[in-house]
Parts: sequence; structure tokens; C-alpha cells
Amino acid sequence: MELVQTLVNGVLLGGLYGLIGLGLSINFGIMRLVHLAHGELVVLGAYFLVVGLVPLGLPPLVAAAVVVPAMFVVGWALQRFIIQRALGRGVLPPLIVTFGLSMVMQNALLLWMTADARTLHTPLASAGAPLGGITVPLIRLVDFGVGLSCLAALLVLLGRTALGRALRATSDDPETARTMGIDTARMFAVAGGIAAALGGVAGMLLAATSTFYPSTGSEVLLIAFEVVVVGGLGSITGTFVGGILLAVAQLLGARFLGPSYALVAGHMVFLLVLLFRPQGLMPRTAPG
Amino acid sequence: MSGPLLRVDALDAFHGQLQALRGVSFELAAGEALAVIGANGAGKTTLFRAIAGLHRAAGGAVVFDGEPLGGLPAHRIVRRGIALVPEGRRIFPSLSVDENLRVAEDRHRRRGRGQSRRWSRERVYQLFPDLREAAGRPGTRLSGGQQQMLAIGRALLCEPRLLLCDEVSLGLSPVVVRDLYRALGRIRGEGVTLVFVEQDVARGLAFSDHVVCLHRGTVRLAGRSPARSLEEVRRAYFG
Amino acid sequence: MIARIAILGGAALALLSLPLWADAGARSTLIILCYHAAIAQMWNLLAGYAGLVTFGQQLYIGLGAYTLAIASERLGLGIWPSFALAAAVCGLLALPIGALTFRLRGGYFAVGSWVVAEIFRLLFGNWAYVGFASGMFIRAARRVDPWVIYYASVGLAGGACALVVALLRSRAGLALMAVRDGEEAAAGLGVDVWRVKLFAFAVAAAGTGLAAALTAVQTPFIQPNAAFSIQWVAAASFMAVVGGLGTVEGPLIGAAIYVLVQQQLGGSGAVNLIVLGTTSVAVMLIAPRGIAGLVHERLGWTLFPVARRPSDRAQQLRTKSIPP
Repeated sequence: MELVQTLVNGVLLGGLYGLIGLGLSINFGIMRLVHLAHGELVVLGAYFLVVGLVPLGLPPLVAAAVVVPAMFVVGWALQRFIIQRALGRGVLPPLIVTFGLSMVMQNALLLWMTADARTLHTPLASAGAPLGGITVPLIRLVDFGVGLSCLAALLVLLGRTALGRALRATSDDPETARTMGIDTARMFAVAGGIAAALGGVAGMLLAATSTFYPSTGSEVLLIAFEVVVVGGLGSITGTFVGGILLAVAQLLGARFLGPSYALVAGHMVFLLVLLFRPQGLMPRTAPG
Repeated sequence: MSGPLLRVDALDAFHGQLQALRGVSFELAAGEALAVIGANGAGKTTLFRAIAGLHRAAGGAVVFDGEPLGGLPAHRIVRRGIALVPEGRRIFPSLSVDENLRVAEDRHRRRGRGQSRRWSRERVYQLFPDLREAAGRPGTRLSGGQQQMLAIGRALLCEPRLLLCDEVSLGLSPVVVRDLYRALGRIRGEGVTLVFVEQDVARGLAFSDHVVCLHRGTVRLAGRSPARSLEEVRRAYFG
Repeated sequence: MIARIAILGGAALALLSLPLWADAGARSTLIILCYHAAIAQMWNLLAGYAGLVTFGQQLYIGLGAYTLAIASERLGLGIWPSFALAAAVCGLLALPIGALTFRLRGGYFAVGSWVVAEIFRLLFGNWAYVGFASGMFIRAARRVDPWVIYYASVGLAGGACALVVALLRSRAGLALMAVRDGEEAAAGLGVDVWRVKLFAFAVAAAGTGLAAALTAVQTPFIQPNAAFSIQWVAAASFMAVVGGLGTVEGPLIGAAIYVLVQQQLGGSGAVNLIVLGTTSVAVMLIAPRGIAGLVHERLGWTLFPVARRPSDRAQQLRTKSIPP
């Protein structure tokens, strides 16, 4: 029963992890960009909610409606004005630039917000629904639900809209896309915005699910990274599944090896995938 | 209409240190067809890419309908009315056949100055019935000839006045090539000006009004097609 | 040629004769400068010459430092055997780690290396032998004469530069730069890409481990969070990029700037890192070849001529396909 409880908790938490990975997956899928500041964007969303909006007394859904477009603009601007200039020149410039951005953002948050722990105080955090012998923590249920919805929305966006087609074409072959009239620089900026918006949603859930600090960004980045690699580069659904796998691994590790081994257990799963199936669970074969 | 639709003027282009195009010049009037002939490495693809805006020219100019294109990004050149069917076709692998067409159609919904669309997906399917049958399949799961049709159809949906066709018949069977040229004939009938690369010299001469022969980046031979004999062209082709 | 000998000779003379004309403060600063230069040089060896950008170099900093701590505190080894052990442990461990992480490419290799460093940080934090996350004291190693440490640092920095120069002038170095410029092309020429990369990776790890052992001697206390901190690689990448990636003098210039700025800003670590980050981004976008690269471009001069790049002026005249 304990095992089942751990598994259920893991799968549900996996929704959040998958969501965290989705933004990074978009960046890599569309722009071949390993966005080292993605973790900071997630944490920025969390701070925006907890420090910026909650004190104003806004109900959570209204707050979400403010955070998401705001984060889109942040991601769009970073891509359009800074990161874009580093693309197309090899592996190093985007890494140095996004890494530099992450350092600036993390430490700016540290200066501005101090190193105090923050969290979103919500009755959901401690509530649980009993279900046949186990308790389903409500906040984890929300994590999973929102994560899954974002995945679905993203798949619809990419698969069924003109913007989605243009993004996929840009991802496949930016040069040929340009000869079709697609402004690839603009597509990249939009992709950056979408990734940051997804990060913002993840950040809000993170705030509700646990405590966070300015330094949480680094942890979040590594989670996102492992989720994307485990799930399979280029597959968004794979990323989401990777999130579930990683969360389950972490919780199982905590349960059987001790709480301080949760992160190590997750990293070990990542290493195992790297060792035995480096292409990930669902490597890119079909759209999405 | 006065003046040529396309005028290339002393065009220079490099690949790193290597000069790929050297002083290339030619003209083409609206509605005509120009065959570009030359061996591999002669600079044909570089020429097309330079006109389409994918390759920055080091010198010279490309003038389209009286306006210089100098330095315009590729996606804006398309809006001016030049569409490219690239070497290697370059179909988008994550998109289906229909989606490959839609991607181009999406970008050219609005035609400025009150012009209505000349091309639609339906017309492309009429032109290339094979594609209609394969519409839901991934774009790359087609035969070579069908991919060429898709690439042409995709370019047509950009509403071009000038169509650049790099390597029409490369690797395709004679039957397929014949069908492609029939389609190109119908496209020309709609008033689209055509510049195309053709390895089969005789066919190139037969289908075009003008011919340009490139050798190591320079124009070795240019003029109206029927006037040049096959032998002269062969000599210029091989240098 | 004369200028080079004069500069290098003068610097060597000044550094070697330090006890005659400088005080403990200057010595301390120079020790810090030297090991930072060595760390930057090793990062540059990988990123600038082998095409391996890594955000996991802190793994070898932590390992090297802990090896020194364990060797001198727990195993009772002398300072020199401890240094040697630190380099050896790092160099040897780099082999399986490289073999595993090389399955990732580009940016994914960079972050994958970071994950491996994290694993070690967490494992050391759970290890009783080294005092868990609270860490352990370093006492024995610190009883060595500071001037000995000084000369060791100078030797380390000089050795790192000499190593890079020697490596690059060797056949292995040619192979390395071929790999950096184009792996497939290099493989086509018969270069065993994998072995060349692994070799460079192990050498850089050993060098980093040695430098780390020196840093450990400078601190009374070692903790996993500090020893395996990402800030080491943040500093290394800053120094290499700002100084000039792919040059031998670049990391030296970068280290000098870094240490100077650290001393000026003193106080808050957060402000330091913001300055670091902003500068890295600016340099990468505006002057990607760094300071040494700019000097090379404008004046056509390098202190250590190893770069085998085609003339930059020629490159400016040519054009390429437009990037997306």
C-alpha cells in the first residue's frame, strides 16, 4: 500500500516535472537551444505570483491570467533581443549567453527577494482526497491536471494551427521555411515566449507544491534537462512521460533510501537512460 | 510592360574563401523561361540561393521588376514574388503533404493591392493528382517525383511571379520528368516566369526561351535557346 | 619574437623573485590568480580547442579538493603526494565519466556534465568519512610554508600554459583542433575522434584537480556545496571567454580581470555574479573572441602562437550563407 501511495504521488508530481520540461523541450525542438536560464524563468513565475500578485489579494485563476502573458513577454523579449544574436554561431555562444542570463536573474532575485524561503499558502497544499486505501494529495492532482492540460494545449497548437505548422516547419528546416515566407527570427521569439509562459505556469505550481528560493532555478533546470533527455529529444509527449518517470524515481528513492537520496535517485535514472537508451524513451519520429 | 522582370547584374558570391559566382549577368522578361545549365559545382545552386536571399552576394545586384533586392531577407523576397523550389526538394519531414502545402498557403493569405489568389491547395491537387492521394502522409514518405511535385506546389502557393526551380529532373525517371514538364508548361501558361536548372541539355533548350551556361561561376554562354546549337552548349558546359 | 621573450621573461623574473620585493598580501593574491588561471586554462583547453563546452568542471574541483583533504588529513600523506594523488584521481575518473557523457552532444553534454557533478556533490554530502554536508577541517596541509605554496602555484599556472602549448604543437593537438573545427571531417581524415576528445578531457580534469588541491590548501575548511559549486565553472567560463577563447594568453588575461574585479567588489557575492554574467553575455555577443582575440585581430599579434586559424581579415571579405 505504501508503495502504491508512493507511485501515485510520483505519477502526479510527474505532471509538474513534465510541465517544467515542456518549456525546455520547446526551446530545443524549435531552436536547437539548450536554454540554461529556463529554471530561472520558472522561479520568476513563482516569485511573480507569490510576491507580486498574491499580496494584491487576487484569486489564483486571475493571477494565473496575469502571470502567463507576462512571462510570455519576458521570454519573447529575451529571445528577440539577446539570445537571437547568439544563435547560428555554434554551440558555445547560446550556452554562455543563457548561462550568463541565468546567473544575472538568479542573483538579481537574490538581491531583491533575499534568500528567504517562499511558498504559496493554499488550502490545497495540505488537503488530500481518500481513494481506496491511499490519499491523493490535492495539490499533486492539480499539478498533474494542469501539466496534462498544458501538454494537450501544446499538441493542439503545434498540430492544428497555422502558427503550429509554421513553428514545426521552422524547426525542421529554417532556411526552407524562410523561402516559404516565414520570418524565422519572429518564430524563434514566439517559441521563446511560449516556453517562458509554460515555465510561468510551472512556476506557479511549484510555488503551491513546495518552498522555493532564488537558487531553486538551478535545481529546476537540471530537472527539466533530465526530463527532456529521458523522455527523448524532440518529443513533447516524451518529455511529459519523462517527467513522470523522474518524479517516480525520486519518490521511490526517498522512500527506500532515505529523503536525502531523492535527488540522487533521479540523477541515477538519468544516468541509466544515458547508458542504456541514450535516445530517450520516445525519440522524435512523428510530429510533436 | 517595360524592362525585364529579372535582371542579374555582375553578381559575385563566395563560399568562405572560394569564389562561387563571378560577374554573372543575364536578363529575363516576364512570362519567359530561362534554362540554367552547367556541371556540378558550376554555381547554379549558389545563383538561385543568392537570388532567393539565402546567400549574401559579395558584389553586383539582383533587380526584380525594376527594384533592387540587395540584402533583403529571404522571407521578404518571397513576398516580392520570387519562390524557390530548392535543390534536394527539402520537404518538411514533420509535416504531412497537405501541411507542407498549407505552410506556404498560410503565409500568403493576404495579397496586397486587391489581387486575388491565383493558386490554392485545390488547384495544386488538380495539377498534381498524386499529391491528393498522399495528402495525409508525412511529406517525406513520397517518391522522388512526388516530392518534386510537392516542392513545386508548395512554391506555387507563395503566389510567385518568378519561380526558381533548382534541378527539375535530377534522379527521376523519364515518365515522371515528362509529367513534371507538362505541369511546368501549365504553370507557365498561368503567366509565371520560370528559371530552372536542367542537366539534360536538350530538354533544357527545348523548354526554354533563353539559356545561360555556367562554368566555374562565370557565364560562358547566354542567348535565345533555339539559336544555340546543342554542340555549342556542350562545349560551354564542359569548358 | 623579441617582444614575446621580453614579456614572458620579464613576467617569469618578477614572479620568481617575489619574496624579494612583495608582501604576504601580494603573494596571496598571486596564488589565487595562479590557480584561477590554471582552472580557466583547463576549461579553455576543452571549450576553445576541443570543442567540448562543459558546465561540469566543478566536479574535478570538488574531487581534487577532497582528495587533498582526505589524503593529508585522513591518510597522513605529505603535501606533494597529496597533490599528485588529486591530479591522478581526477584524471582517472574522467575516463569513465567522459565515456558516458560523450553520448550527449553540444549543449546537452554541457548540462549532462553538470548533472554528474551534482551527483558527486550529493554523494559527498551523504558520506560520513568526510563529515557529510558540514564538511571537514583542513589542518595538516596548511602547515606547509606559504612560499612553497606560492612557487607551487606559479609552477601550476606556468605548467598549465606550457602543457597547452606543448599539446597543441603536437600531433594530438592537431587532431584536437581538427575535431573542434569539424568532427565529421576529422573522422573522415582518420582521426579517432573519441579517443582524442577523451584524452583532452582527462588531461583537463587532472589539471583542474591539481589546481583544486591548491585551492583547498588556501581554505581551512571544505564542504561539498562550496567545493562542487557551479560558481567555479561560472568563473572559469567567464575568464576563458572574456580573456579570449582558443588562445593561450586568454585565460591569463581573464583570470587577472576576474581576480581584480573580485577584490574591488569585495562584499556581496550576488553583485559579483551579476557583473560576471552581464559581462560574459556582452562579450559573447559583441566581441566573441575576447580580449586576446581582439588584439590578434587588430594587431595581428599573439603572445603564444598556436592558433591555426585562417586570417581573419580574409574572412571578413568573404560571405557565407545567412544564419537563421
